[in-house]
Amino acid sequence: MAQLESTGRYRYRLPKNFREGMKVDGKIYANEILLQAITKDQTLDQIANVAMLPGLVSESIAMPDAHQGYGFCIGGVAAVDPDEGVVSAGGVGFDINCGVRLLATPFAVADIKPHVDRLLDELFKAIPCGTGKEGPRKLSGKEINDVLENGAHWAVKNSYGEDIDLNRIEESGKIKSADASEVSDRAKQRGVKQLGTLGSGNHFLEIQVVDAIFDDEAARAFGLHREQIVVLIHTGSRGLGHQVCTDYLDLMQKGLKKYNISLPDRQLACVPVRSEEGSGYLKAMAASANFAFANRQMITHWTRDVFNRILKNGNLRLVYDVAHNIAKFEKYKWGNREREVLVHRKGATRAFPKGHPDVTDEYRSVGQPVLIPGSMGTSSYVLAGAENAMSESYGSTCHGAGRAMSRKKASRDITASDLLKQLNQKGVKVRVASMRGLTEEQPDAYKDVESVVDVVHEVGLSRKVARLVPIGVIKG
Amino acid sequence: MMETFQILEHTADIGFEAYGGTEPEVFANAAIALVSIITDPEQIAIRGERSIHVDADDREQLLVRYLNEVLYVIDGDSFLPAKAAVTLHDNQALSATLYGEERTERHDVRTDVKAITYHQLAFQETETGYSIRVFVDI
Repeated sequence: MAQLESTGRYRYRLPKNFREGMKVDGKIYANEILLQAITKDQTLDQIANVAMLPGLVSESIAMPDAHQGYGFCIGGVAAVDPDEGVVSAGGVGFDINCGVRLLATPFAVADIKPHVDRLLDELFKAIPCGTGKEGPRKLSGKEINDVLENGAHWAVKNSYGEDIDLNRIEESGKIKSADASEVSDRAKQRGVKQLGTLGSGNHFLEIQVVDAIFDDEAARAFGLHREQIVVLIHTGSRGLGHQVCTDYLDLMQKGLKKYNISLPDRQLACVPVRSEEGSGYLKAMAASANFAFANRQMITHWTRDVFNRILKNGNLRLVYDVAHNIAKFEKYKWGNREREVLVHRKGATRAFPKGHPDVTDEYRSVGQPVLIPGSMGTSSYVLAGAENAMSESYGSTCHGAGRAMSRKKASRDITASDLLKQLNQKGVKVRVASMRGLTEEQPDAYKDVESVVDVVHEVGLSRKVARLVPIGVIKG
Repeated sequence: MMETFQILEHTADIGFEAYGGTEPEVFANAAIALVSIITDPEQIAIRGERSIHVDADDREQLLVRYLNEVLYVIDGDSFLPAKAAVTLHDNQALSATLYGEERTERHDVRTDVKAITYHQLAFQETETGYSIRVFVDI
């Protein structure tokens, strides 16, 4: 078996003779410890399997937080030629546009400390979380279609936030190619009740403190300073996105036969980008992504409302909102010419550098904000997109800490009450819908987020701007 | 009594292996194994039923489509099954009746299951009957 080769600091190549059928090499960003974790489960096999997809324009890429997923590894990036390549529903995943948004508050840690318990209690009441909780907004008949086609724009039009928020969301919170008619009634049925809910699993809302600044200029542009209180929201497209992925995976299974595509794992099912099925998926995926943008926009509104009620100031500035699971058409340079590719990001974040035309005006001089949630009770990071992302990783960087331990083992290793005690000792207060869900998300179940961001910083895919540490957590 | 299922580990997600003396039995036990990831099946009373019917091109697809139907009943229709009765028409079609009740605040629902996957999916004959292995995304 061909072995991994080091191609420079924190860079490894998985040569295409690693597995028969690989059309391109694999490329992994990691330090030695992270690489050990990556080689422990089936991540390498999954990187190799993705390298077998038709029409890839270069390597099958894995970020330092990569771990085993379904079909694609989590932390994977794959770019294909739109005319010769395929789109894979599994390459985006079940939680379409699972993503993160950061709100900067006008408060310093000292202003907030006496009010943390009340804030958490009220946020927990205002934002439906856990499983099966319905959103307070009952959508009328066809209104779901409006949400799917207009995303955060629908939310702002319906008084959930301000126009200015829309400038600070990837794709301005509305992917224009979305088409609600490509989304099944079932997906709408699953989603309609869940709009404006946080969900369960690794989704959360955290009140955090900016604890370190690494890049003064970028931090200033993002409106962040030391000791400032911020709010980080992590959730996605809920049951709607899950059902869209399920529906199209099923459709793409048929497509494999129809388009004569042979793959080692059915979970990778894919169809040509330019096929009817491929185009249908991309429109439905965009609609699901819009649902997620609207979802995070509504949660933002309620968060502002709670801060306003308790601290008499709900002026929480949206810093940015990024997608972690998505496929997008983007342009990259090949020598002197520009070429459009379809980039699948499965647990990876867009990281456009300074000067990129798709970075919103107010951040164009420093690069797009990249939001990296850590595990519960540990640090999260704000990064800025950097130049090497354009030449090496299709404008992509890591997305989080990445799981290192199964949920069952995580729950076995610690009881919920011990975990709450530990977090409390660290100064982190928690409100949680499911105690079992809490232990599954314990910090030791994740890789070290510090190492993950150090790797992407060192290799120049993005650079460190600020570190955030939690003081309050709301979990589903 | 023979064990009807057990939960399996996976770095990010979770799976199960279900057992049954007959094919309909193993399909029925797989549905309850799925429910057990979401909530405790013992806490679900039988007050109603839902019927599902699935066609597929092969057995793997039949299994995935069937469990996705069960998941839709749980997540889209808010109905929690405690028991399932399955009739297999051949390798490519099945009908099932799910017995249980509508979800209420009383049920301790631990997690959402996003979807059923083909990851390491297996349907096998064993010494005592059949086993099914499935991983789900949560």
